[in-house]
Amino acid sequence: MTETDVSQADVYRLRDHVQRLESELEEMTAALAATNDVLVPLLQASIGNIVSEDDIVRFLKTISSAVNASFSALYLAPQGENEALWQAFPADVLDFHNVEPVLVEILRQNRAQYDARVPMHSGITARWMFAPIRVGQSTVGAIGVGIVLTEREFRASDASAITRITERVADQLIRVMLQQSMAREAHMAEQIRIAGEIQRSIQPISAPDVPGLELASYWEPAYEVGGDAWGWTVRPDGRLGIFLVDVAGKGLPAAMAAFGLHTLLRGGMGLALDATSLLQTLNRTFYESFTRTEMIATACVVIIDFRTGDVEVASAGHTPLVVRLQGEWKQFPASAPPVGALQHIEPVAHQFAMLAGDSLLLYSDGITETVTDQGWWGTDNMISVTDNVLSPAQTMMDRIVTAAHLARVGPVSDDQTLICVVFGQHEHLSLPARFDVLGEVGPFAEKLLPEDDWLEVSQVHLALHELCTNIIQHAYAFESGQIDIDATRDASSLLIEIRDWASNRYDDSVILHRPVSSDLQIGGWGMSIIHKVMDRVEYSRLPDGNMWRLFRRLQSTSSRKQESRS
Amino acid sequence: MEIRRRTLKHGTVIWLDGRLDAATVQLLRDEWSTAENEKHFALDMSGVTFIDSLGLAALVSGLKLARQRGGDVVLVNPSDRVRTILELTVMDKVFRIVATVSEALGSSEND
Repeated sequence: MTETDVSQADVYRLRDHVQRLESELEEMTAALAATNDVLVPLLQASIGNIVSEDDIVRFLKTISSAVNASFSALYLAPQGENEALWQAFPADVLDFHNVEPVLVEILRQNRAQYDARVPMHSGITARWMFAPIRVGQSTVGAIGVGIVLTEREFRASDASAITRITERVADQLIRVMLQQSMAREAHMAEQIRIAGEIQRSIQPISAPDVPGLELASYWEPAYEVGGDAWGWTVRPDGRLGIFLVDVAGKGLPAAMAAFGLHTLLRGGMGLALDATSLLQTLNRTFYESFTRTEMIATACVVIIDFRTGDVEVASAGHTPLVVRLQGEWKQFPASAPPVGALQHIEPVAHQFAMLAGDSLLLYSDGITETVTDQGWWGTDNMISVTDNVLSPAQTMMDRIVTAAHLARVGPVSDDQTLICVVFGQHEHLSLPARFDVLGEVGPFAEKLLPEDDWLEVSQVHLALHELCTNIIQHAYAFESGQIDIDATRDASSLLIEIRDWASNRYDDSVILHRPVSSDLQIGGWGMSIIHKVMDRVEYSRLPDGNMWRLFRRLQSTSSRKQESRS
Repeated sequence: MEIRRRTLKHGTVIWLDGRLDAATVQLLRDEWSTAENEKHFALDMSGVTFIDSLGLAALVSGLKLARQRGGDVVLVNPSDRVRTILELTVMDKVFRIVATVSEALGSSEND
């Protein structure tokens, strides 16, 4: 068609049509703006079920006005904790049941319904047009407008307006749902944080203040909360009770079970139950309480008489208790399955005695099963990093935790607990390898044996002095170096480890000492004196130095006092 | 350690004060070497607070020298701690231990 083919009448007709479309568009835009103004606060509120009926009616009134309809209605399907929302305008003109089949169809087909005939309360029939409210791939509700059947028919602009309104509604719903989801997530995170704080608060933060025993601990859940829990208590029978539980699994469920087990064990310790009875009681209660959850836990109970060094251990499915007795590492494995697995368990207690310097490692598998590039870290590595030397409990714990951390690849995958116990009071002295500083050895011996008689102190002082002299002469050959003395004592025994970093090793002529005699041979008495005043003398060549281990049973005043008391 | 020496009519008195150990033992060795013409010694040990195996060796070294010259080294009034070490090393059987210098030198001489 050319320009000349268009008649004047066509132009006028076309202009009228454009003007009508422009008018409709203007109306629609104004209506959309109006609905949007009331829409936002309404939806923000309605999702939380706090919107009033008046608010919704106001919203629907706006929609009716926007599309010049007699009726309007809003339906939101139930979402999560929110109930379904249905409101018509004017209120009471339309029974929900009459429109329900239409709404069901909209939600099912996810597309608009035009010109649905719906009977109204007043006896008339209205034509309704519903558009779905789509959030992502889901239809979460619908908005509809109705006109009296005899009044007029729906126009295309009505459909456009109602569709645009539902799109705005959907946008708002998405925002509100996102906000709600974030708020729920933040609330959950806060709840877990509080649970984590509570769980952390039930783990001991201080070591038991008991004579002759050092304890250091490490507890770290893989997530905010975890299934490991430990504790200690001085029991009514005067012994120190230590326990560790490791609930299978991680996170909040494991933490809740760990809370319960922790409480049970503390209570049992307070009743002075022996180690096996404690585990049996724990198992019975746990089995009954958690029988529907299929939850199990390992548990280990250690009871130490810190006056005598006698130890009682029982374990249900827990990783072996690792103990260093007189320089030898031993493992005490579990004697019963984890608690919660069987209705009744029969754990067997291990018993042994600790002397000064002996140590004990109670740990969860999160330590030894640290994932490294060569598989699990393992118990052997845990033992080897202690260097098999006498150390304060804190040093021993730091070494293990640091080594496990350095060996790990990837994130921490399990809850980690480690409890190091060293029997005896620990003292340390570092000296440069020079004769003129050996005067410090005497006060060190006195500090180590403060209540013991002077003869005992003198002899220990002499042995230490002789060994240091020997190290300066033979190991360092008067070159500069350092001597480290670590000593631990309990009521009846003393263990001293003397360490140097000299490249020279001792030969047999030094190690195999000559007995003390009254001949006038000059020299060679140092080692003889050491052997004479100590009950056991051991030497070992280390990759980077020499290690002497001296052991002496104490028979001084305080020991005798202690013996008579126990 | 402080060390003093005085030659009397019946012998030489050496007073020791402090620790006789690896750090100080050379002082006593020096005394033996400078007292090369003397053979009777009284070692006043009352001021010795500690003695180690090197200190004992130095005592024995002096004793050997004295005995080679027909003399002796007598220990005077060691403290309980030092006496314990002497007993521990059986040096109490090697040395004569007395309470006074005059007793050590068999005379009425004293400080």
